[in-house]
Amino acid sequence: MKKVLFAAALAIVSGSVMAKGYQAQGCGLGSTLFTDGSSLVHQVLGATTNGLSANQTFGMTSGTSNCELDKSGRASTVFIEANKVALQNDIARGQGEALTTLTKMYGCSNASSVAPVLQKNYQSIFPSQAVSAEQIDGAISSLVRNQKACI
Amino acid sequence: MIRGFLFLALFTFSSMASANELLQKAAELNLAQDKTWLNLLHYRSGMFGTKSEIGDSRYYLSSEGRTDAQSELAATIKAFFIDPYSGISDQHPACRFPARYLYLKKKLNREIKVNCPKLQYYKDKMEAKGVALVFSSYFLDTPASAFGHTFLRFLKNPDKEESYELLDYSLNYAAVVTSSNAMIYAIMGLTGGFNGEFASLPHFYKVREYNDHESRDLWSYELNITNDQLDMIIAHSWELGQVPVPYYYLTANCSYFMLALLDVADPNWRLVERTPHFVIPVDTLKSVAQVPGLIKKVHYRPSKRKVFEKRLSSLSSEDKDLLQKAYDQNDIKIFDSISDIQHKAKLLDTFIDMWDYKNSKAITKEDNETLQKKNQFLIARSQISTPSQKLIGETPSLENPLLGHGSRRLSAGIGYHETRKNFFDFEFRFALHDFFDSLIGQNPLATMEMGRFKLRYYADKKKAPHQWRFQEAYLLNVQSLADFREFFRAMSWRFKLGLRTIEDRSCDACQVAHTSLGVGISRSKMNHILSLLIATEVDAAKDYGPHNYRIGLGPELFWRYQILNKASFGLLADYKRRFVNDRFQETWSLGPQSRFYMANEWSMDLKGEWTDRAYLGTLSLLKTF
Repeated sequence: MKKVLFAAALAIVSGSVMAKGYQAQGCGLGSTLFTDGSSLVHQVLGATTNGLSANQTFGMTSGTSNCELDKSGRASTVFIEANKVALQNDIARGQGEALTTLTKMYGCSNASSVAPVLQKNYQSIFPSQAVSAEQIDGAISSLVRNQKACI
Repeated sequence: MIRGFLFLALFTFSSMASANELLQKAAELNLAQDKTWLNLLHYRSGMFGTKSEIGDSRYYLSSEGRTDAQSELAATIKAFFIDPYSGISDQHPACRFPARYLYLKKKLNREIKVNCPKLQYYKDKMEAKGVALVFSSYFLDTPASAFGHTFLRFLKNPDKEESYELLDYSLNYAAVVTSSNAMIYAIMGLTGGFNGEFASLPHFYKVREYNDHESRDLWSYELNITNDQLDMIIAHSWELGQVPVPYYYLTANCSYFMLALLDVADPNWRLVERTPHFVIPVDTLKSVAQVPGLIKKVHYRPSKRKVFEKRLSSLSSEDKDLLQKAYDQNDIKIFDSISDIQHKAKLLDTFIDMWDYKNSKAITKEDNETLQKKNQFLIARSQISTPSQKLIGETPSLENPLLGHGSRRLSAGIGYHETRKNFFDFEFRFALHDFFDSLIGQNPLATMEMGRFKLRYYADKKKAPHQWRFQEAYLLNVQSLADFREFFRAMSWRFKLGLRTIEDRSCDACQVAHTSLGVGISRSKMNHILSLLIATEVDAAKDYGPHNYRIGLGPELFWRYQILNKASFGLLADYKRRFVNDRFQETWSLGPQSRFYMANEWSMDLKGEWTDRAYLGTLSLLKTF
């Protein structure tokens, strides 16, 4: 607290703050976000700022990270990993933005008919907290496919 | 052989002719002094002449590029259109500087064939069809966010009914902080010791971080721009992303660079020029709003807390009791007493949001126990097929930060002191807000002041020990109040640091260094605030008795009521028991204050102060800008 206030006293204004020394793991919001001072941005981008080799910093961080919403087919997994809490809420409640967005990513235009299918199968999608984003992705997409919920 | 020579000579000649022609055209158009060209190079005039704010040599194709716009222009034209290139395609100058290329292509009417796969990938995943400047609201818990934060959001579906906002991309500029030491952090932050870095990332990371983890509202201001302008912004973001730029917390900060980036789209916007030297994020929104028609749409995204409050507001008081009980006992079986299934779903929905709001840290850390407990609630909820109520997003337009008063404030007043008679006050405040300023567009429960200086002049030389004096010079004055009520039992606190003049029983007109910290509880309703804090104060001065300091402890009671756009009324009562020069003393003061708001951010302030030594009153005229 004292430290925070002191820092505040001397220098504030805008900007989000980040620090080095992170351990990038997956594309989730991150267990390291505020605990060891490492940054969300770095974790997301999975790239280091050390050695700004040539002119590649931005190219690296925005180009080769695997937490992107590109067409590589991993986009829905990346989305699920970062939005897991919101998505889990939405599926349990049968409605919500994260759910609508995911159904759109699967190419469905009718979130309202996909939602009840997922809600009914909540426990098979989230059998435990240890379930990974890939598993969730797999479970949801096969449910959507098998039950022909998607149009 | 001779033929080969001839060919080479011819080739060189023709490319020279072409080079001369292009350079001549650039000269005719005076491109080196063109606003857009200078914006692309980030030239700024300062005390030491005009130069670019980007120091990294990789940002320039000419060795003089940082200070000589003409030489950089010539080097760029040569590199793009004249010199043959044989390296990797991504390293082609036109791939490294795509905004410069777009600009010169148009101005010189010249095109080249070049492939930039990485740049293309960057643009493809963004799929931008619009752009918005996003303001993340004030967050007093971390010093870096106390004044808010801004970043850009590139919209994929700007005009559709369902915008799938989460899938948009954001562009953020932030300092890469390399030290957790507060002192180093502060010094480096102010002097540009940290590098700033641009990052583009899916917008949902921003939503999860600000909306959910920190419970901050997000305000998006969508800009009214053409496709060409959008292309320039994206291309320039790519250029900026390739070099480190020193980050200055007060000037060249996150919000500043968002404007500097937008400025390349249209030189007439002059967004950087419109913004004061010290850049407070909210001021940059105002710079954008000053350009007629530039803001197309305002979009509000409530924080987790606001969502929870919204659900809570539709519950009866019995429901709320059940909710609190379930939360305290960590058990949703309490809801089994409800027979109406829809009703139960509504309570569970509120309960889930409450859980997320109260445990946001543990949830972000993916704390297993927290998540496992929560899963039980979600399983119960999933067994009720009724979908949860969609929360219709009403925009709380009075909270729109764009409508807030100016960050800086200047005031002049006349006053009367019981023994020293007439005086004049002159005050300047660098930023941002106190409880008596208009609360529209502000955090209504916070005072956030940085750099407030008050000079006082006593008219009668014989009555006052010094005619001129620095009455107050506060570096920082923060009061973060929290309405202490059901479900939101948070403490209030305040912190103050600076110089002040003591005029009470223990000393008459002593100038001291002051620091104080208070903690307590507050209530707030209908623009009323009532708070009771226990505060401890330390005052130190060289000539202050044998020990050079005094310490004090005591309660402070504060009340304020504001009638929007009209007036505020308030009262501060302060009692302290102080340890001064080896003995105890009691001091007290009572201060009524009112403020009347007039047009164009002018206001009138009437303030009284009655202390154990004297009474005084001041009437001031204030202007925020």
